[in-house]
Amino acid sequence: MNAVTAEPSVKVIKRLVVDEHNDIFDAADMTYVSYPSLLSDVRAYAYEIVRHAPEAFREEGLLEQQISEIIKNGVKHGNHCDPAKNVHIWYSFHKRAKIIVEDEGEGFTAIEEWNDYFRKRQEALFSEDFDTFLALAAYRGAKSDANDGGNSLIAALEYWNGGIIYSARKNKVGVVRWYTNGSVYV
Amino acid sequence: MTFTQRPDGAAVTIAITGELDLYCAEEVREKLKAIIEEGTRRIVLDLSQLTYLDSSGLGAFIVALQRIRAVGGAMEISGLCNAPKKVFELSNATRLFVIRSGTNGAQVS
Repeated sequence: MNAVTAEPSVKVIKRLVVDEHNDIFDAADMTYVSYPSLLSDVRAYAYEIVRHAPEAFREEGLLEQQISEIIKNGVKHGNHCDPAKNVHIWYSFHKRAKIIVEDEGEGFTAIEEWNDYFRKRQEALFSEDFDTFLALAAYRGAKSDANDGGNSLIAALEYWNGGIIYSARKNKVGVVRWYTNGSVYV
Repeated sequence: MTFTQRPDGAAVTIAITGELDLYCAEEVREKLKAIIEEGTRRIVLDLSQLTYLDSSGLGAFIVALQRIRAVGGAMEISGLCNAPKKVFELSNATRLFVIRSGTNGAQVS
Protein backbone atom coordinates (compact mmCIF):
# COMPACT_ATOMS: atom_id res chain seq x y z
CA MET A 1 0.00 0.00 0.00
CA ASN A 2 1.31 3.40 -0.91
CA ALA A 3 -0.14 6.47 0.81
CA VAL A 4 1.68 8.88 -1.51
CA THR A 5 -0.87 9.59 -4.20
CA ALA A 6 -1.40 13.26 -5.01
CA GLU A 7 1.14 15.42 -6.83
CA PRO A 8 2.48 18.23 -4.66
CA SER A 9 1.53 21.57 -6.17
CA VAL A 10 4.98 23.14 -5.78
CA LYS A 11 8.18 21.11 -5.65
CA VAL A 12 10.44 23.46 -3.75
CA ILE A 13 12.94 22.21 -1.18
CA LYS A 14 13.49 24.89 1.44
CA ARG A 15 16.53 25.25 3.67
CA LEU A 16 17.44 26.57 7.07
CA VAL A 17 19.51 29.70 6.51
CA VAL A 18 22.32 31.24 8.56
CA ASP A 19 22.51 35.03 8.16
CA GLU A 20 23.78 37.04 11.11
CA HIS A 21 22.95 40.38 9.53
CA ASN A 22 19.47 39.54 8.30
CA ASP A 23 16.85 42.20 9.00
CA ILE A 24 14.84 39.56 10.84
CA PHE A 25 17.11 40.13 13.86
CA ASP A 26 16.22 43.81 14.07
CA ALA A 27 14.40 43.78 17.40
CA ALA A 28 13.43 47.45 17.41
CA ASP A 29 9.85 47.88 18.57
CA MET A 30 9.63 44.26 19.66
CA THR A 31 8.66 43.19 23.17
CA TYR A 32 11.33 41.31 25.13
CA VAL A 33 10.78 38.59 27.72
CA SER A 34 13.12 36.07 29.32
CA TYR A 35 12.31 32.74 30.91
CA PRO A 36 14.28 30.03 32.76
CA SER A 37 14.80 26.81 30.83
CA LEU A 38 12.02 24.75 32.36
CA LEU A 39 10.63 22.24 29.88
CA SER A 40 7.54 21.89 32.05
CA ASP A 41 6.70 25.53 31.44
CA VAL A 42 7.35 25.81 27.70
CA ARG A 43 3.70 25.83 26.71
CA ALA A 44 2.93 28.39 29.40
CA TYR A 45 5.64 30.66 27.98
CA ALA A 46 4.16 30.35 24.49
CA TYR A 47 0.65 30.91 25.78
CA GLU A 48 1.72 34.09 27.54
CA ILE A 49 3.24 35.47 24.32
CA VAL A 50 0.31 34.50 22.13
CA ARG A 51 -2.03 36.30 24.51
CA HIS A 52 -0.73 39.49 22.89
CA ALA A 53 -1.47 38.33 19.33
CA PRO A 54 -4.62 39.31 17.43
CA GLU A 55 -7.23 36.57 17.42
CA ALA A 56 -6.92 36.28 13.62
CA PHE A 57 -3.27 35.30 13.99
CA ARG A 58 -3.88 32.46 16.43
CA GLU A 59 -5.42 29.99 13.98
CA GLU A 60 -7.06 27.74 16.55
CA GLY A 61 -3.90 27.24 18.57
CA LEU A 62 -1.51 26.83 15.66
CA LEU A 63 0.46 30.00 16.46
CA GLU A 64 0.89 28.90 20.08
CA GLN A 65 2.02 25.46 18.94
CA GLN A 66 4.59 26.82 16.52
CA ILE A 67 6.00 29.33 19.03
CA SER A 68 6.08 26.58 21.64
CA GLU A 69 8.21 24.45 19.30
CA ILE A 70 10.94 27.06 18.83
CA ILE A 71 11.00 27.84 22.56
CA LYS A 72 11.22 24.11 23.30
CA ASN A 73 14.20 23.79 20.96
CA GLY A 74 15.98 26.58 22.84
CA VAL A 75 15.14 25.19 26.27
CA LYS A 76 15.91 21.56 25.48
CA HIS A 77 18.55 21.46 22.77
CA GLY A 78 20.13 24.85 23.43
CA ASN A 79 20.10 25.15 27.20
CA HIS A 80 19.73 21.44 27.98
CA CYS A 81 16.89 22.29 30.39
CA ASP A 82 19.32 24.03 32.75
CA PRO A 83 17.06 26.42 34.72
CA ALA A 84 20.07 28.65 35.41
CA LYS A 85 20.09 29.43 31.69
CA ASN A 86 17.38 31.55 30.12
CA VAL A 87 15.68 31.70 26.79
CA HIS A 88 15.44 35.25 25.51
CA ILE A 89 12.42 36.04 23.38
CA TRP A 90 11.42 39.07 21.34
CA TYR A 91 7.97 39.20 19.75
CA SER A 92 5.85 41.52 17.67
CA PHE A 93 2.40 41.05 16.18
CA HIS A 94 2.19 44.24 14.15
CA LYS A 95 0.91 43.24 10.68
CA ARG A 96 2.62 39.84 11.01
CA ALA A 97 3.88 37.47 13.68
CA LYS A 98 7.60 37.91 14.26
CA ILE A 99 9.50 36.02 16.96
CA ILE A 100 13.18 35.83 17.88
CA VAL A 101 14.34 33.16 20.33
CA GLU A 102 17.89 33.09 21.66
CA ASP A 103 19.30 30.49 24.02
CA GLU A 104 22.57 30.35 25.93
CA GLY A 105 23.83 27.14 24.39
CA GLU A 106 26.42 26.16 21.82
CA GLY A 107 24.11 26.66 18.85
CA PHE A 108 22.44 24.35 16.34
CA THR A 109 25.68 23.14 14.78
CA ALA A 110 23.97 20.44 12.72
CA ILE A 111 22.13 22.85 10.42
CA GLU A 112 23.82 21.63 7.24
CA GLU A 113 23.27 18.00 8.28
CA TRP A 114 19.62 18.86 8.81
CA ASN A 115 19.36 20.58 5.42
CA ASP A 116 20.88 17.50 3.79
CA TYR A 117 18.42 15.25 5.61
CA PHE A 118 15.48 17.45 4.58
CA ARG A 119 16.56 17.51 0.94
CA LYS A 120 16.61 13.69 0.83
CA ARG A 121 13.24 13.53 2.58
CA GLN A 122 11.60 15.92 0.15
CA GLU A 123 13.16 14.24 -2.87
CA ALA A 124 11.63 10.96 -1.67
CA LEU A 125 8.28 12.70 -1.23
CA PHE A 126 8.37 14.27 -4.70
CA SER A 127 9.46 11.04 -6.39
CA GLU A 128 6.79 9.09 -4.48
CA ASP A 129 9.39 6.78 -2.97
CA PHE A 130 7.18 5.89 -0.05
CA ASP A 131 9.55 3.56 1.79
CA THR A 132 12.33 6.17 1.85
CA PHE A 133 9.88 8.92 2.73
CA LEU A 134 8.57 6.89 5.69
CA ALA A 135 12.11 6.09 6.84
CA LEU A 136 13.00 9.80 6.68
CA ALA A 137 9.70 11.07 8.04
CA ALA A 138 11.34 12.30 11.25
CA TYR A 139 14.83 13.74 11.74
CA ARG A 140 17.11 11.80 14.05
CA GLY A 141 20.31 13.69 14.82
CA ALA A 142 23.10 12.85 17.22
CA LYS A 143 21.38 14.85 19.95
CA SER A 144 17.85 13.59 19.34
CA ASP A 145 16.08 11.49 21.94
CA ALA A 146 12.93 9.37 21.86
CA ASN A 147 10.78 12.29 22.97
CA ASP A 148 11.79 14.44 20.02
CA GLY A 149 9.16 14.29 17.32
CA GLY A 150 11.80 15.06 14.70
CA ASN A 151 9.34 17.07 12.63
CA SER A 152 9.15 20.51 14.27
CA LEU A 153 11.57 22.21 11.87
CA ILE A 154 9.88 20.57 8.89
CA ALA A 155 6.59 22.19 9.86
CA ALA A 156 8.35 25.42 10.82
CA LEU A 157 9.76 25.85 7.32
CA GLU A 158 6.22 25.80 5.97
CA TYR A 159 4.49 27.72 8.74
CA TRP A 160 6.96 30.64 9.03
CA ASN A 161 6.33 31.86 5.50
CA GLY A 162 8.29 35.09 6.03
CA GLY A 163 11.50 33.26 6.83
CA ILE A 164 13.34 31.20 9.44
CA ILE A 165 16.88 32.51 9.90
CA TYR A 166 19.67 31.50 12.29
CA SER A 167 22.40 33.76 13.64
CA ALA A 168 26.07 33.02 12.99
CA ARG A 169 26.39 31.28 16.37
CA LYS A 170 23.19 29.37 15.53
CA ASN A 171 21.82 29.88 19.04
CA LYS A 172 19.35 32.51 17.90
CA VAL A 173 16.53 32.01 15.43
CA GLY A 174 14.20 34.58 13.93
CA VAL A 175 10.89 33.65 12.32
CA VAL A 176 8.12 35.56 10.57
CA ARG A 177 4.63 34.60 9.46
CA TRP A 178 2.55 36.81 7.21
CA TYR A 179 -1.21 36.52 7.07
CA THR A 180 -2.19 37.48 3.56
CA ASN A 181 -4.62 34.73 2.56
CA GLY A 182 -7.59 36.47 4.09
CA SER A 183 -6.19 39.99 3.78
CA VAL A 184 -5.70 39.88 7.52
CA TYR A 185 -3.68 42.90 8.52
CA VAL A 186 -3.77 44.40 11.98
CA MET B 1 -5.45 13.85 26.90
CA THR B 2 -7.40 10.59 26.92
CA PHE B 3 -6.46 7.39 25.10
CA THR B 4 -9.26 4.89 24.58
CA GLN B 5 -8.84 1.71 22.59
CA ARG B 6 -11.63 -0.44 21.22
CA PRO B 7 -11.19 -3.74 19.39
CA ASP B 8 -13.25 -3.77 16.20
CA GLY B 9 -12.87 -6.91 14.16
CA ALA B 10 -9.33 -7.23 12.91
CA ALA B 11 -8.63 -3.59 13.72
CA VAL B 12 -8.14 -1.66 16.92
CA THR B 13 -9.70 1.78 16.98
CA ILE B 14 -8.00 4.26 19.28
CA ALA B 15 -9.65 7.54 20.16
CA ILE B 16 -7.26 10.23 21.37
CA THR B 17 -8.94 13.34 22.74
CA GLY B 18 -7.80 16.67 24.15
CA GLU B 19 -4.24 17.95 23.87
CA LEU B 20 -1.42 15.68 22.71
CA ASP B 21 1.79 17.55 23.42
CA LEU B 22 5.35 17.10 24.62
CA TYR B 23 4.11 16.28 28.11
CA CYS B 24 2.07 13.21 27.16
CA ALA B 25 3.50 12.08 23.79
CA GLU B 26 5.72 9.46 25.46
CA GLU B 27 2.65 7.82 27.02
CA VAL B 28 0.95 7.60 23.63
CA ARG B 29 4.11 6.32 21.95
CA GLU B 30 4.51 3.55 24.52
CA LYS B 31 0.84 2.53 24.40
CA LEU B 32 0.90 2.30 20.60
CA LYS B 33 4.12 0.28 20.80
CA ALA B 34 2.51 -2.16 23.24
CA ILE B 35 -0.58 -2.56 21.06
CA ILE B 36 1.58 -3.41 18.04
CA GLU B 37 3.76 -5.79 20.06
CA GLU B 38 0.60 -7.58 21.20
CA GLY B 39 0.00 -8.49 17.57
CA THR B 40 -2.36 -5.80 16.29
CA ARG B 41 -1.77 -5.25 12.59
CA ARG B 42 -4.40 -2.62 11.82
CA ILE B 43 -4.84 0.53 13.87
CA VAL B 44 -7.33 3.30 13.24
CA LEU B 45 -6.64 6.52 15.11
CA ASP B 46 -9.79 8.54 15.74
CA LEU B 47 -8.55 12.12 16.15
CA SER B 48 -11.92 13.83 15.80
CA GLN B 49 -11.78 15.15 19.37
CA LEU B 50 -8.08 16.03 19.38
CA THR B 51 -7.77 19.77 19.99
CA TYR B 52 -3.99 20.28 20.06
CA LEU B 53 -1.10 18.38 18.50
CA ASP B 54 2.58 19.26 18.55
CA SER B 55 5.67 17.74 16.95
CA SER B 56 6.15 15.29 19.83
CA GLY B 57 2.62 13.98 19.40
CA LEU B 58 2.94 13.69 15.64
CA GLY B 59 6.29 12.01 16.19
CA ALA B 60 4.56 9.35 18.31
CA PHE B 61 2.21 8.60 15.40
CA ILE B 62 5.09 8.44 12.91
CA VAL B 63 7.08 6.01 15.08
CA ALA B 64 3.99 3.82 15.43
CA LEU B 65 3.45 3.88 11.66
CA GLN B 66 7.08 2.88 11.09
CA ARG B 67 6.71 0.03 13.61
CA ILE B 68 3.46 -1.36 12.26
CA ARG B 69 4.58 -1.09 8.63
CA ALA B 70 7.76 -2.98 9.54
CA VAL B 71 5.61 -5.97 10.54
CA GLY B 72 3.30 -5.72 7.56
CA GLY B 73 0.51 -3.81 9.24
CA ALA B 74 -1.28 -0.55 8.59
CA MET B 75 -2.34 2.52 10.51
CA GLU B 76 -4.98 4.99 9.43
CA ILE B 77 -6.26 8.32 10.67
CA SER B 78 -9.89 9.37 10.89
CA GLY B 79 -11.60 12.55 12.00
CA LEU B 80 -8.55 14.76 11.51
CA CYS B 81 -9.60 18.41 11.78
CA ASN B 82 -8.73 21.95 12.89
CA ALA B 83 -5.21 22.74 14.13
CA PRO B 84 -4.06 19.08 14.35
CA LYS B 85 -4.94 18.75 10.65
CA LYS B 86 -2.78 21.79 9.89
CA VAL B 87 0.12 20.22 11.82
CA PHE B 88 -0.19 17.09 9.67
CA GLU B 89 -0.27 19.21 6.50
CA LEU B 90 2.70 21.39 7.45
CA SER B 91 4.83 18.27 7.95
CA ASN B 92 3.55 16.45 4.82
CA ALA B 93 2.27 13.77 7.21
CA THR B 94 -1.01 13.72 5.28
CA ARG B 95 1.00 11.93 2.62
CA LEU B 96 2.38 9.37 5.06
CA PHE B 97 -0.88 8.15 6.51
CA VAL B 98 -4.11 7.01 4.98
CA ILE B 99 -6.47 9.78 6.07
CA ARG B 100 -10.17 8.99 6.21
CA SER B 101 -12.93 11.52 6.65
CA GLY B 102 -15.43 11.00 9.47
CA THR B 103 -14.88 8.91 12.57
CA ASN B 104 -16.04 5.49 11.37
CA GLY B 105 -12.48 4.52 10.72
CA ALA B 106 -12.88 0.97 11.95
CA GLN B 107 -14.70 0.18 8.75
CA VAL B 108 -11.43 -0.41 6.98
CA SER B 109 -11.44 -2.87 4.14
